[in-house]
Amino acid sequence: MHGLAQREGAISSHTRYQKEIFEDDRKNLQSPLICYGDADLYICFEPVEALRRGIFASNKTTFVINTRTIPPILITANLEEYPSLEKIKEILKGYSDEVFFMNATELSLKKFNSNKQVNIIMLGFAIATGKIPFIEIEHYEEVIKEWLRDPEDNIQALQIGLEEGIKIINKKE
Amino acid sequence: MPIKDTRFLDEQGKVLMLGNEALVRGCLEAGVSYVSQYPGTPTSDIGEYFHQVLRENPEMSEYLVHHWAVNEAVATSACAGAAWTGCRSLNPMKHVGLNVASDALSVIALNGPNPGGMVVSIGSDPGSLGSHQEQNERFYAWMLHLPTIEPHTPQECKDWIKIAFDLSEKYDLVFDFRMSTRSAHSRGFVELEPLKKGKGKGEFIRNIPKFNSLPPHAINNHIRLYERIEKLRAAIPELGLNKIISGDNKIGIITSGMPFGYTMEALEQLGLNDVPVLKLGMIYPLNYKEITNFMQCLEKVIIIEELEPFLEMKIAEIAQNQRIKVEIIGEKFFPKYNEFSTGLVATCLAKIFNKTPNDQMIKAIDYFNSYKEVVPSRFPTFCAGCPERATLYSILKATNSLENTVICGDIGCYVMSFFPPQECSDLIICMSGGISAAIGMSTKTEQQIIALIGDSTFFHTGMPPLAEAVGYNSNVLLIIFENSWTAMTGHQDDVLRYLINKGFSIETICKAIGVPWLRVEDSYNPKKLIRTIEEGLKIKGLKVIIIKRECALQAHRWRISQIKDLEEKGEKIKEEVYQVYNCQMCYECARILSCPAIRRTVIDEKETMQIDEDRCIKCGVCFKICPNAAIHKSIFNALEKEVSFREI
Repeated sequence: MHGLAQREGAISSHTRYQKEIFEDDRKNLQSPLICYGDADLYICFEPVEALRRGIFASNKTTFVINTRTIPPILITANLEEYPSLEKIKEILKGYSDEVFFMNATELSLKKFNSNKQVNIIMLGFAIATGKIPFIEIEHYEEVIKEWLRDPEDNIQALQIGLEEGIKIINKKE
Repeated sequence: MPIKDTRFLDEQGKVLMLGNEALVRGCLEAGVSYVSQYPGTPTSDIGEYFHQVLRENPEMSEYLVHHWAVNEAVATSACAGAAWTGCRSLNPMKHVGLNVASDALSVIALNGPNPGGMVVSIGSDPGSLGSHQEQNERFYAWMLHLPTIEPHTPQECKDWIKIAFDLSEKYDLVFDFRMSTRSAHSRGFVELEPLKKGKGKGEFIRNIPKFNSLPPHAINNHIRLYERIEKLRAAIPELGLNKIISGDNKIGIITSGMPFGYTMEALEQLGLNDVPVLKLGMIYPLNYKEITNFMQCLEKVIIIEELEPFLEMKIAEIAQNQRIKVEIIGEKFFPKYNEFSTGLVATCLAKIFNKTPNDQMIKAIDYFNSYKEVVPSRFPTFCAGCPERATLYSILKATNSLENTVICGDIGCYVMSFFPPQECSDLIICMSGGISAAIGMSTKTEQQIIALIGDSTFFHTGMPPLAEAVGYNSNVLLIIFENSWTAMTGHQDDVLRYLINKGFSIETICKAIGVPWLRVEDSYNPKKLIRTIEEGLKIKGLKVIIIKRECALQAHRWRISQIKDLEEKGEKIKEEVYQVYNCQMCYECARILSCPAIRRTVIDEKETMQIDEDRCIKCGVCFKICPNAAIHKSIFNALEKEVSFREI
């Protein structure tokens, strides 16, 4: 994960895993990075960032996107233009039909009076797509209990993301 | 509740680790007892993990010492000093850190680390992901004869650093353990092995010929260095670091490190599963027989490596010397710049093997290129409330937007000065290169010259050029950001912090060096700072302005924790809120100050700037500079307890 996140830079990180390791080296995942067009799932915490890293998407990709924008400084300075959410959606639809938006920031602020649960709500949203194999909801809860601060809030946030996510995804179909 | 992170201390198990974490774990299994480094991406976190382990387990300090050094050259000599008492020392640094350390390292490599062992862990950065350039530091390995091991997975990071220490001790050679930003910061499973305590105390035993590489010993040590390297070269096939993935194709591949992963996946994607691959774990020196055996039955060998052709050159040399008829290709098909990826390797291999890359990838690239112009840039910038941003604002105001002015930038957060919209840096060279360039430039131009430097860089190598500028009374205005942290690398609890706690003062140093015109200012008071800059620029000779204001990230964290503590005790806190009313859209705050806590929006069909309350740290600078007084300050609980930023 690189790109000076703390200094307002654009960052992305890739996750890849396989259940078992094969004896034949050629069959195993060997690179930590996803190849262009090969991503199954995008979890986007900011809308325009989905476009910036879009090169890893294809018709098999599902996008889950938080609608809250973080305008780069040149947008505030009115020296560049931020595309509308409709435009972003239209472009992403060129990759795949599975493009879903959720205002996770608003949900977090409403339920927890803080934006700290946005990430976990987005994780719930991502789980709702069914695109994360081999990991059950109990596994997430176990990790949240073990590693995160305010585990109760975070488990609730996961549920909210999951429930709202299912609603959003079903609505489309 | 979060449990304690025991991955560095468990005697066994299988855990998820970053490459750098695995490297640290490997050192603890190898009995490393001294670590010294100056922070720099991608190696900064190595020191942070050692620091964490020592903080959580103070008893370990009996046999493990971790130092944050003032610069890389100091760290390298310190590691040699420790090794020469018979212990194992680790010296992490980023690729450009090696430029600073190379003076020391060129001699230490001759002398050899025995009776102890020494490994220099170098973080290369193809793609310049966290550096000001992507130099190919592998050529140092050749020049200084540093045997180089390059891991690919976190498991290899852990296992191979142990091998590096064993070999360093056995052959009296300083090893280079070559990481990259990608391998340092990729996660994977690591099987743990038992820990080993390092040497608590050692002893330096006098050996004048070994430790004084001056004539005649310099030549003798050089001869001895070749003997040591040749012994190691002969042993390489037995070390288990290099491996062959066999295949019947007449074209083979030699690669190492992260490109190995991209290569394997690209071959799979192109249906080229019969191509034999030699994965080098040790990239310098190379064993002639091993390389020859691999190439013997091949018509063509492709070398896949990031940056300039290092392996390609050495392997072509072997082919020629051993009279093997094989065509060696690499740089002809692969770029000599930027980070590689599976997509890039697949595209290049497709050309060589006359194949078509897969459709999914081609479509992804084409479609991305069709819309990429729409994506707005997101340059990194100073944090909300950053005192450096406020200083740049004052420079822009004091110089009428840099009219007849040159800004000599430097390395630190202020490296970001050159990004739009402020664009307040004309050149960047290296640590303390800004003030140094300013000295020469000031002899040749009548333009106003302002040089920037931070406190950590000042300490790293900034004092010598300042002394020179005093000596020549160079016509330069030097601005020193004293924010009391090595901020850009992540606020390490480093030597700067220790010195600050002991009363270190840049002001005192400047006085002692003899700076003729010295002011201390606060960039949260922009009007006064602008006047001081204007005043300084009118005077001929050296001028120094110290901006004394803590890093906004740390200051904000500290303030929030203070408020939380007080509120938990039931106290009410005075609160400030900044809001925008009747904005005239003059863009002073958005284009000249350009604070990221300010956003442009539309309220009641009228365009206006707005302050994101959750991002504003309440530095008050926008409130002070708004030319139309459209930013208002409201105070709640006015009579209650006030928590200001702390003084530094």
